[in-house]
Amino acid sequence: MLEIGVQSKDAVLDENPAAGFMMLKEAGFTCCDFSLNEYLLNTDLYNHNLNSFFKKSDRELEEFFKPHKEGAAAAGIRVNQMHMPYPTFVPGASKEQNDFLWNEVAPKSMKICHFFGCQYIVIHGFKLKNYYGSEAAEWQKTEEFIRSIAPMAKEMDITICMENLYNSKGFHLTEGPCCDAQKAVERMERINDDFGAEVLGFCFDTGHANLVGIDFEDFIGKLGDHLKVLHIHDNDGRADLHQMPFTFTRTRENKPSTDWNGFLRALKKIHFDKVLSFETAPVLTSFPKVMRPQTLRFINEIGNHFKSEIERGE
Amino acid sequence: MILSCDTYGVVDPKRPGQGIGDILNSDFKSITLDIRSYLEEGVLRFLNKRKKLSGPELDVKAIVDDPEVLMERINDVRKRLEGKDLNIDAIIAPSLPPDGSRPDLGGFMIEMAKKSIDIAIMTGAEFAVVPPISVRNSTNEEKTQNRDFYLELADYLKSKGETGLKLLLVNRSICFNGHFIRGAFTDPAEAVNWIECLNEAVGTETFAFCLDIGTCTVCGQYTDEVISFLGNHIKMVLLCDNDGDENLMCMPLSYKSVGGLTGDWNGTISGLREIGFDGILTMELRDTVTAYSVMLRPELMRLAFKVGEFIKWQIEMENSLKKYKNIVLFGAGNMCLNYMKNYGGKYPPLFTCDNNSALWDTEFGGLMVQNPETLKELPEDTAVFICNLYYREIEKQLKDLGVEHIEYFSDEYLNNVNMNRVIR
Repeated sequence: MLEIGVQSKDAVLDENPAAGFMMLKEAGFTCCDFSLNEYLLNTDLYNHNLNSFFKKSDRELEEFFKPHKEGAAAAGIRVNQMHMPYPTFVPGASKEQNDFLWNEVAPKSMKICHFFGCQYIVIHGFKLKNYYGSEAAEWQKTEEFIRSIAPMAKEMDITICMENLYNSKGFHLTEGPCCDAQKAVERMERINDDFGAEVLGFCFDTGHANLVGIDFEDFIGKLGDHLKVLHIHDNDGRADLHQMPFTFTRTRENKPSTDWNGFLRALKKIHFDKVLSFETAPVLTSFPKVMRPQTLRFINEIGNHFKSEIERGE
Repeated sequence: MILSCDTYGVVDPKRPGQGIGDILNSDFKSITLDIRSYLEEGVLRFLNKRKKLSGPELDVKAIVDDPEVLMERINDVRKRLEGKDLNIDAIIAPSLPPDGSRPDLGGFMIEMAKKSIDIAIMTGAEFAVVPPISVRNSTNEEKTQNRDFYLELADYLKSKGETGLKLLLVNRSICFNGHFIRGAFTDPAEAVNWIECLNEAVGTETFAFCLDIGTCTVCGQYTDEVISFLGNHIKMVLLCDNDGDENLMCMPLSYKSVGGLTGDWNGTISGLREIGFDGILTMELRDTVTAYSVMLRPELMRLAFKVGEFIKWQIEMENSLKKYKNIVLFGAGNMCLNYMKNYGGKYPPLFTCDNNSALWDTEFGGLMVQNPETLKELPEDTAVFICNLYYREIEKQLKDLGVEHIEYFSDEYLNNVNMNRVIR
């Protein structure tokens, strides 16, 4: 049965995670996409700044996240997915940093995911096409990384989910890793066959797809059952704005410039029955803070609309 | 490889004389006759929906009411080309608006596609680019519509006898409420599958592909990956630039934002180089030529030709290297390293030179760095390839040294560059 979730960023705060999860509950959500990536930001990593968060021991990390886990449970919120910090390789960074990301951050993220009883962890494939000269060479590095954490995934019954990304060339955005559904399916099936388990799945990000003109219906149709989690958000097709669906129009007819109907048709067609998860933290910061509960409630209402459209006629 | 000029925006459909003259005077030897300019998508979108018709709408309506009007206009173009050193090498058939708003014009478009085939045969063109009848190619209904369309055209072509004409599928973007997204044949795997299935159905190699780089840019695609997959199915490439947001047809290499050119020109050029592309490169210039005053048109067209020649030279880079028995480089820097990485194995230079005396008699990138004075005595059939941005200064220096064969090397559009750059 479909559930509705939202990311924890800017809603669940370390000072009082229980209050944050309760706010999500009161807004109508039953699930949460835990923003583990907030504890080691990509912006810091690209500047070769490695903070000490993941230098904590496994035990220390469990202690740190215990209030979050308990807060979610108390509010009846299930952490169904989380986001591993990214990137896991920074071209030009020290070997020490890159080794730390691969050998410490990644496995510890898996353990945190397991600690939360969470089934899915989203990763970013390496953005190395220019570095290595081809998409195939770029994917080889990503696959090497996936295979390094896949044994843990199998043991912990976690599915690693790769996400469709984009690259930026100044203001112009182009496709990045995992923008070819057919290639993604072939790669997931091959790796899952090798491990004899569903260690790899897909996270479809509507906003990223919209930026590079991907046809949602076609893409999701090709993913089929490999689609495990969603990052639902909207943008103007030019910048990664992470706003709520139906926000943007481009013509005087004021019809949405993002194909939400195609998205819903596809989810219905593949019998998607997991979580409609919204990656819309920037909505919480663009509206006044005092309106946070109402903003979350509205996002949840959009989720309810999506749910009823998908389940209609079933 | 043929460098061709698309007539859209350059040649006035009703008064083609001046435009043809501008193309002739700019040294292009080939044109791509673009029937879209006679039946513009933007005009078709509103055809018969407004009470008062504009000039362009009246022109389009004239053709819709009597398709022979189109043939008259094309014949006018043909007559003006007689005896001129300018061939019509390809035709582009008109297309329905990309927002899918005029399915009622489907029947008319089929007729226009057939007329485009007639025009291609009449003008001796080698290729007719035929956009799909349904810009979206996702549902079974859409696929059936496109398949039936192309098979009907193949039958029509067959009825004309042995013409040698090939029909080219082309990648299209859909305008979804003002936002351009990927449409028919933007997925190269899908495009290859379609070409092979259509050819199997008709029993001949009737179908191939025309790659629209503007569509790739709007759809944010890696053009080298697209080109690599399509391979030799690509017979024609439509070169243009745009802002990555709208389907504009601006002169290639002209659209820049913060961070560089919006188009993936590195991918396009290196991709075409990799597959040994030897078809038609068509320069689409509509939105650049119409932005400038018509008084500047002659200079703009000459620039367009030079830009096209530059792109062609970049793609055919290896042809320059093949010409000589021996190669020497000038420059002991990053461009030299990139030469060695990409061509050093196949075309090993004898040595390199540099004006920096501190580098003389040292090894760099696997080559000995020599004093440029060494160039006064080169073996026969040796060319010096300048591997430095200061081409014109160095060329003068080489001429003063008496070097006979001077060539430029460029690493601007190599896909495999040395990542450990030298900083001096």
